[in-house]
Amino acid sequence: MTETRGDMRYSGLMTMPGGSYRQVSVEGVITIDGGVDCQEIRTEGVFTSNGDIKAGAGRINGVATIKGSLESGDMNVNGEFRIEGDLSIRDLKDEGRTNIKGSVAAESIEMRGELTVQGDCNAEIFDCNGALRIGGTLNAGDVSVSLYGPSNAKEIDGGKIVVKKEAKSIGILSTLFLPIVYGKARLTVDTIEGDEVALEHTTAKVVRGGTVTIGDGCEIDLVEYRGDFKKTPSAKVLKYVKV
Amino acid sequence: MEEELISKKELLDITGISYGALYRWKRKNLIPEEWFIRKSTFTGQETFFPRDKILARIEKIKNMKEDLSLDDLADVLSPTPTSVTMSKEELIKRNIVTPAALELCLQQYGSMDIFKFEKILFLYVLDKALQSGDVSIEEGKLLLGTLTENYEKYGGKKCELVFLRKMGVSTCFLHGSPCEFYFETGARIVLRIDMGERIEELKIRIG
Repeated sequence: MTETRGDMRYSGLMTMPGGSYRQVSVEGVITIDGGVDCQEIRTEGVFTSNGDIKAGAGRINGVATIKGSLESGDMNVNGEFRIEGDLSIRDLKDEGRTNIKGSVAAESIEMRGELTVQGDCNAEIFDCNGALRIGGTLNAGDVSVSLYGPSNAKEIDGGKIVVKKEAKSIGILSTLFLPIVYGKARLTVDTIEGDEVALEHTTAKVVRGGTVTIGDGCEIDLVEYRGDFKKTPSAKVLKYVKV
Repeated sequence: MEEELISKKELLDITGISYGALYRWKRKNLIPEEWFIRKSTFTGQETFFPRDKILARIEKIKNMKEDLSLDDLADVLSPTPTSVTMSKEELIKRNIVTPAALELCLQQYGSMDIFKFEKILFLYVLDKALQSGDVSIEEGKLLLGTLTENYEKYGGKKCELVFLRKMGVSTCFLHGSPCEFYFETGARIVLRIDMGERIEELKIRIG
């Protein structure tokens, strides 16, 4: 199939029409009216889309708001990102603050900063350094969280689930999460279920797993394990049973 | 009658699968979300499943995953035989076509409740074309008309649908593939649809 698509390139302050493009590359204060279907999207500055975006790949720098859903291949995000619909993506690399009102389906998510998802979040690999707020269930093959701020989720399910907190905040994350916030870094969740679960600074009602390791700062009501169970003396576990 | 349920704990014991596998299959939509039934028990929240359905499904996944990728499996697992008729509600519910395409089709054919495979195919092709954004609603009607009138003449042989546009005027035709064709300059191919490929796709989706 031969199709001719043009590029959208602009820098400045402008409202652009939606449509099919090859590359969308915009800088400045840009609003796109209507949906966009493109092979690649690059935005710099303040970007707003009033419709859905479908992109083969992309890089978002600055402050971006999508008032619809985003469907994309690999994407790099730096800054403040808001999606009012769902996010469906291959690999997401994200530094900054991201807020998604709908649900997320991804191959991999690599987050440094603060991720808020109001619905469910599904990924094969979920790696978050920072804080996360997930209204629904986080379901991932491999969950790795390094806590820098108050975090919560309704439920975390998966294969391997590791939650930890570094001794002190470092790098770019120390500018995003000030010491007072870092001091409150803690994960609160209803249930966690996985084959291999290792937790630090987590409050949970139920933790179910094959191998369960409960580390510093944890407060868990009930642990049900199928294989091994370990806990540091300082952790609070009200009840643990082998099932 | 109420369905017999099985707890997650028991399910993992009986089938020998891990939490990881269960949740991976859930992510890939091999196990429908609605089969995860949450209930409060004295130990807190517990998840249950419809016993017969989940056991049969897990058996099927375990047997088939050697030959197929999980994504292919997800398609094949939707349970209906190939020589099928479907109601319009089913077509929408199973997400085979969008309501917009269906409505367009009903305008063309008059009201229809039951669709045979061939009609589903036309509808599916129309839907794909509309969704690609390359053809408009008006052109969609043209496409549907061409298929309805001419497709059966190929008697199941391979053919391809070609959509042309020149200076805003569009037309489409079917040809038995493989064949070469040329046309005047200025005309542009908007869309080419290999009907054979679409049939395969559709069969996987509804079979």
